[in-house]
Amino acid sequence: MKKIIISGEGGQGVRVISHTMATLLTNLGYEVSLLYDYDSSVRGAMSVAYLTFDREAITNPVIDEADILIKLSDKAGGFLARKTVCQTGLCTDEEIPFGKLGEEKFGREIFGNMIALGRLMALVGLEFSGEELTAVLPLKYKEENVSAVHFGYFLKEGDLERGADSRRRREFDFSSARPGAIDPDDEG
Amino acid sequence: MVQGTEAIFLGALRAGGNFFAGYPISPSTEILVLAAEHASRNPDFKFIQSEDELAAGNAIIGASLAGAKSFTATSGPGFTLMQEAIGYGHEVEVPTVLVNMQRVGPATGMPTMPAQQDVLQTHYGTSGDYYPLVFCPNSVAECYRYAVITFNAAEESLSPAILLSDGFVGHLNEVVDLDAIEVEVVARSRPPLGTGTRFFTGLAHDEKGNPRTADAVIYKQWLSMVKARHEKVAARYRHFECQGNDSSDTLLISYGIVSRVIAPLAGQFAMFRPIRIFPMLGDELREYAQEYERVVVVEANDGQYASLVEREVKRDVVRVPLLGGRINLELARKGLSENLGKEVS
Repeated sequence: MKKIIISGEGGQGVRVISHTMATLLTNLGYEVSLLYDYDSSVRGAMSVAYLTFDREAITNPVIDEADILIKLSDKAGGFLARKTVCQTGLCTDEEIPFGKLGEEKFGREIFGNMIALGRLMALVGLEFSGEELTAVLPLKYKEENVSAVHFGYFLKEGDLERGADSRRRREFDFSSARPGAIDPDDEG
Repeated sequence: MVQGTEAIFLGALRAGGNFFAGYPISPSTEILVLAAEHASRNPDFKFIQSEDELAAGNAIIGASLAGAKSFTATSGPGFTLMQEAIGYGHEVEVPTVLVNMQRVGPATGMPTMPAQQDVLQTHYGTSGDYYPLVFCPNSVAECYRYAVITFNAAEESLSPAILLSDGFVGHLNEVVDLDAIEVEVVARSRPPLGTGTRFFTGLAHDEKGNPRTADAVIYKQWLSMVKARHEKVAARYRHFECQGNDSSDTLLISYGIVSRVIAPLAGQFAMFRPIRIFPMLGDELREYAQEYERVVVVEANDGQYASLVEREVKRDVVRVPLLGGRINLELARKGLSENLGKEVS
């Protein structure tokens, strides 16, 4: 069983990231639970998604300690996680300037959420085809989204300093070179 | 994947629901939106976004009297506004369904935060004696199944029946094949409007609907008949789950989302989960509780169901409240440790 928390604020794409990931996992044959927890102010207020997947049925969909925490904002806090990937300045584990990269590489800050999705997919160790990804991504800005996910998926230590390759390609490979990946079926 | 609110709406359609009236309120609004979308594509399905919950509660009763299988969806404050209509529905014997996605109260409270704070309101919210049938699902699949069963219970009991859920179950997405869920659908039971002279009154009345506002004999005959009918229907739905534990002296009772959250504690405790919340599963609670030294109710309110369990099992019940919309295993463990005087891991 793997437990993922995506934490941010309304408007950052917590729902898009989590729903896309959950749909892909479902299509790959996993049991999935996805639970939304958000403040009533919605935009600008805390927004959290609890995503659990397994080969067996899931009992508790509310996560106390995550395997991976994606932290896009500090509006919601107090989560425990074995691995945290955060917007720069929000943690001391793995910091990535998602919004800045989204703007620099793909023209809009919001594409930072697709970069985060790609990084999450890589960390979880998912293998899938470009077609399988395209099928679950939002229709709007699909080409940019695929490119941004690919960028995040292959982001490696040192890329941020060098400037990672963001060339847009029609064929993508999501089956190798996953630095720091965990085995999605590993019970450890 | 299907979301809980969507499963409830699809379950309502499966049951034959063809009229929805409601007013948007978190965390139930998705059901209203789905109903509006469905009505825009299906002229046989009628939809009203009413001016408030008072109107919605009365609209579903009117629609039911006219022959529709009607329903609404709301949350705590809206459910409060519907209480007068619920009482009227019981008096006039009208089958209809109210979905309550509970959130933290009282009043506007914490609109999107999950709670189980309407348990007592569900049974004691309106005036007079009445015997509501209330079901509490804990998964997306159960949202679908018990939406249908709540419609069935409404038709069989000729009264408003309640699907009592919460913000977390409503916003939970799970992998479910709804078409594979087998559940019987009870046909519409009450003929629309009837013929000849008709009188639908909230006053106490005789069998033809004529007001009998000072006749205790007729009133008691009517109440006895209604009570017997509800007990008969309730007997068809003795729905619960239990898991004994020979190595534990403690029975944990929970329902809805809390039962999912504390499921990992099954190795340490015996577990009991009522699905039919009302009428109380008195016989079942007494049978299982007698095997354990301690009975604990873990719930997202300050002991509402616990107080009713205490009445049924006729002894003290330990309360573990999970409040403020924070419902997780760690808080449940902490509450159990504090109340049981031992570390619960």
